[in-house]
Amino acid sequence: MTEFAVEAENLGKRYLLGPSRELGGAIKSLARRALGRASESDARREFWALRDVSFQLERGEVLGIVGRNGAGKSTLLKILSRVTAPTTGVARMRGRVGSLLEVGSGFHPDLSGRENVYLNGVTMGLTRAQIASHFDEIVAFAEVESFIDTPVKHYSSGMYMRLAFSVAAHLVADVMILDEVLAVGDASFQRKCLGRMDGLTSEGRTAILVSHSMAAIRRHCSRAMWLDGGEIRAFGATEEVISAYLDTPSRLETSREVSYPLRTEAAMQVTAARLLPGAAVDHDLTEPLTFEIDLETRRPVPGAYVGLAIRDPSETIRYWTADIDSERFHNPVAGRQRLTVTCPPRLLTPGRYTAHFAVIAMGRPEPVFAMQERFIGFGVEDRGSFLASYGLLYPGMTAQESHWGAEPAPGDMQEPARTAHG
Amino acid sequence: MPSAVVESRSDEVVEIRPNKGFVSLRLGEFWAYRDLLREMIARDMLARYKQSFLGKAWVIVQPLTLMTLYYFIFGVILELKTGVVPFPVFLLGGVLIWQLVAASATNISYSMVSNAHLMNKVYFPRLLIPVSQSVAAVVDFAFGLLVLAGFMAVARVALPPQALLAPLFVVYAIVTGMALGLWLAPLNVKYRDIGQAVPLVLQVFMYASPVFYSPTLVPEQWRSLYYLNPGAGIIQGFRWSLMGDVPPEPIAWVCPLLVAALFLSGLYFFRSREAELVDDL
Repeated sequence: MTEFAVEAENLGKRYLLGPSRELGGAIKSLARRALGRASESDARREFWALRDVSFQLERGEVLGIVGRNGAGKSTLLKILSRVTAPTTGVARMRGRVGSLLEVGSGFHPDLSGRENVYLNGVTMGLTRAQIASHFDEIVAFAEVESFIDTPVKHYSSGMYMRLAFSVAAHLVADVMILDEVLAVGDASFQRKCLGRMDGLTSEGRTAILVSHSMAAIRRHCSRAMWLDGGEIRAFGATEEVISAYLDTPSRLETSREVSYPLRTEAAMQVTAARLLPGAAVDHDLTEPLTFEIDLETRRPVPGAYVGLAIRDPSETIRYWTADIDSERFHNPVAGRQRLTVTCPPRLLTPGRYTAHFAVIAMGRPEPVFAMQERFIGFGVEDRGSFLASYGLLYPGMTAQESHWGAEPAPGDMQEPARTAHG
Repeated sequence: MPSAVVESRSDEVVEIRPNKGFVSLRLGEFWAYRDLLREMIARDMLARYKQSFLGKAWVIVQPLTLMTLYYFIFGVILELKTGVVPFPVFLLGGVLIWQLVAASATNISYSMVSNAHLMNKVYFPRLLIPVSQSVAAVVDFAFGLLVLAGFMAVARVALPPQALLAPLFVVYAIVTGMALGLWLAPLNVKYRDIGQAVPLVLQVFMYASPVFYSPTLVPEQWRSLYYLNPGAGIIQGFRWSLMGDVPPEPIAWVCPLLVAALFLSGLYFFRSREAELVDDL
């Protein structure tokens, strides 16, 4: 038998959703408990972000983890990378673990690129000597040679990400833990990430990868795990797990609020979304498609936009829109806001769709990247078009109307011009 | 793609378990992370003075300003007497050693919250953060000491033989600051009002310590009680050893034991909380 690289037994993580963060409240509740007069509000609500997760990975295996937000993916990665301790169970990791839960997370804006390379490198577990011997290579790979002694806050977002990724690309541990790192940056940056991942997998490294991109999971992972509500819903061959996961969009409601603690590190996050008017019947394609989105902003981030993507069951994006140029985009404020987005009618043809929400800000040293994937689902029906009146289904990708014109062909003088819609 | 990547192969199995029962201090792990400690200290020192007009001069501007301020209030206006040591030298000594305690206690208490972004993303022994904060405070103190030496030379204050003991009082100050910080830092994560209380408590502590007045001004019958404040022993002990001021009362020697107990319990408290700190950040 090959020896394991990662072994998890009954891992569980409980969060207490506490009544208050104030010392006074805590003392009062302690006192009441001591007097045997515990009140309702003293009982802290429990939330199991992860429950009974057991699995084993052999050396050289690449595991992909899929699941909706709040399914426990990030919690599992945080436990395996020792950022937080589990509440139950035990995990064993053989060899050095390198985790990359966010590209460039350790960067300090006031320090120069050079200083940050060292800081970031040692944070990820490299030694100073290792970084020094690869320093030129790291800088060359990032293509920032002439700016290496400039504080990184003056970097463009592209330079920042390239430098951060370049440091990360030189970190190779026995077990790599990667959270959604393949999803940031422009196309050429993503190609670099993918290329690096290919390198890793061909070297026979063990890796655990969380991604919302099914293409990335399919490409890199030998096995996959589907987490749902903190528990393993499926574990096995990548293709089987992914199809099981993708086959469930119909379970999604047209309205949803997050039921799990928000990621505290996210400056902005979509907390709820619903399709209006929220009817039990499917959306009529001839009506405008209106979504209501609740956005929570802890810290206003200039340049952060809320994006909405509508995907079909094959995960193809059929429509995408963002609130760039909205009032909120130009004057971001802290607090809760309700955004409304009305997409034009006849955008989609009948079928089932999922709506995905994200907050993205790429023009900043630290990108905000809060995803709500497969957040709500809805059906589109045709009740009002002329095809529906003949009992026919709209074919194709969109039901947009076109303008058809007809006029007598040159040389034919029989009838006046006519136009029609269809 | 990078042609060569940093290699590291090991067969060591790390066990990740719930943080329950008796925790080991795992001080050995510290050695493995020495490079990170060094970078953290460098980051704290570099980032603090970058883009500030006076730059590194801030290290000495602050104690000098306080010294001047106290000199005018207590020396010129209130006409306090200090005995053997000239008042400016007396004040600067008090301000410097007090700031060593207060700065490390304050900075450590806030350090978990200010390093939340790092702690949320990577593992490292969390104790590195308080240690780096403490080292930064010591470096500031060392610069202040150079200025103090200059003042002592100008005022012709000679080093007494007990000056050999001065490092002991510096260590005592460092340990006191860390002991307070180690207790306050995890509490500040859980209860954010601790952060509000820290400056106030330290201010009370400062007035109860002989920073700008001589402990001989404290009435005789209160003086034993007065020296039960570790701050009194640290400051006066430092002055006695370095500039030959009146020595602390013998009762002050109880305090190092209390501080040592606070420090050790603080270490264990911090370690027992560290694995779950991020859950509240």
